[in-house]
Amino acid sequence: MCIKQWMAITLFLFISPFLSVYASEEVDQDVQEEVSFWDEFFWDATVGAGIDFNQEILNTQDNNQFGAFIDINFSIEYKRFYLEVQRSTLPGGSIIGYHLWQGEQWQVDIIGANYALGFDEHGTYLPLQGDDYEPTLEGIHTRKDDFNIGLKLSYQFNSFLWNSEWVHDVSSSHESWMVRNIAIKSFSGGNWDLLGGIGFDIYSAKMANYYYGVAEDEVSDLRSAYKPGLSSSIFTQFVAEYPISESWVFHSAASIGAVSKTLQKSPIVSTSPRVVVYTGVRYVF
Amino acid sequence: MFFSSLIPIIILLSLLLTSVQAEQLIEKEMFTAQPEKCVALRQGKVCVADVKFNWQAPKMGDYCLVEKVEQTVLHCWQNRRSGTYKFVFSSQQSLQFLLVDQGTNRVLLESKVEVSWVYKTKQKKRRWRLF
Repeated sequence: MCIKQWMAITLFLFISPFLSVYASEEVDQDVQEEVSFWDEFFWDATVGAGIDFNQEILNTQDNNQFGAFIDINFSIEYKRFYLEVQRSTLPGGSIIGYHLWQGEQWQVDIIGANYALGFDEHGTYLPLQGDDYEPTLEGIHTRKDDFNIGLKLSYQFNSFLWNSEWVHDVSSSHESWMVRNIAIKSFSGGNWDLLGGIGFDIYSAKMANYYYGVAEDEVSDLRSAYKPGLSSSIFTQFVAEYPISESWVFHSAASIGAVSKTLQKSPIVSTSPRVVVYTGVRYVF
Repeated sequence: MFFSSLIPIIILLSLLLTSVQAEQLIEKEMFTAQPEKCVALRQGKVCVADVKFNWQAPKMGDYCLVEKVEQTVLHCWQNRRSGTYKFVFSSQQSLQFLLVDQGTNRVLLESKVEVSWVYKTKQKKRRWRLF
């Protein structure tokens, strides 16, 4: 992360408790018992491995890969703060959040998270390179991962949850906004944790141009200049988790998505859908 | 004289016999729940497991399998000395089970199914994030 991102996170951590003073006081009046730091601090760390299939939307020579993955996840919770960090060969990322307000069914969080992964001429993931390998996206600028801060509005009704995330990039990547809406349903099935969701993203013109546009100095025989402008994508996702023992869980997920015509027309974007499927186990410390 | 010399042997034998009988009695009393542990993903999530109870009482009688806190009767047996019972355990917390003698209403034996979880963080639904 760059200095700008760290500054944003520091600011985030500093201001968020002040924003929810009113809500905190309400709770504190009811809770008179003394609570130690460790009563409110929770953490989890996991190391996982498994197999995955990725088909990225970039128009790379090797845009779908089947292979093995490892991932390392760390999450902490303290009072209203939460932080989840994922380092993985899988898509995902990190999220920091502060629970600002909670009604009976509505909730508001301040969040900071990575939404778009950067890429270079090799694509998002390092492809299998042979002797005859030539990157299809050769000559493009490197796009950086973004880091966004914004508000997340949630509405929960029984086993349904609707999230609307309105965020703005504070890193030195696209420096613009995006919106993510997702409706999630949880399913009960013994000790399985099953979640299915459907959603859509709206990307500002600046963000879409940054990631999927072709600038004048990127033009080659294979691609012409292009600016997608305001764009969107739709996706459906499914996650399943099952406790094998007190330290091991089975984890599996799938995501299928398609981008708007404005993005599909980009010379660096493939028309094939974005697909991510993985299954594996995680050791929980 | 002959009989008086036999008395210590008889006492010794009877003591030995009593202890053997007592041992047999202890062996005969048995109440187990398998599996003893149910693992959920997170604290607060209902843990589900197919639990099999096995019991053996010292004598024939009427017995009931009872959940301790709610005092829910799961199953009763009439004029039996042993039994098994399969039960779909579904609870957010550990539960104790009792084998009760219906005649005397006395708790004969106790067994427990412990609920534990993998993740320590609570991660409520507001944090659902699929990818």
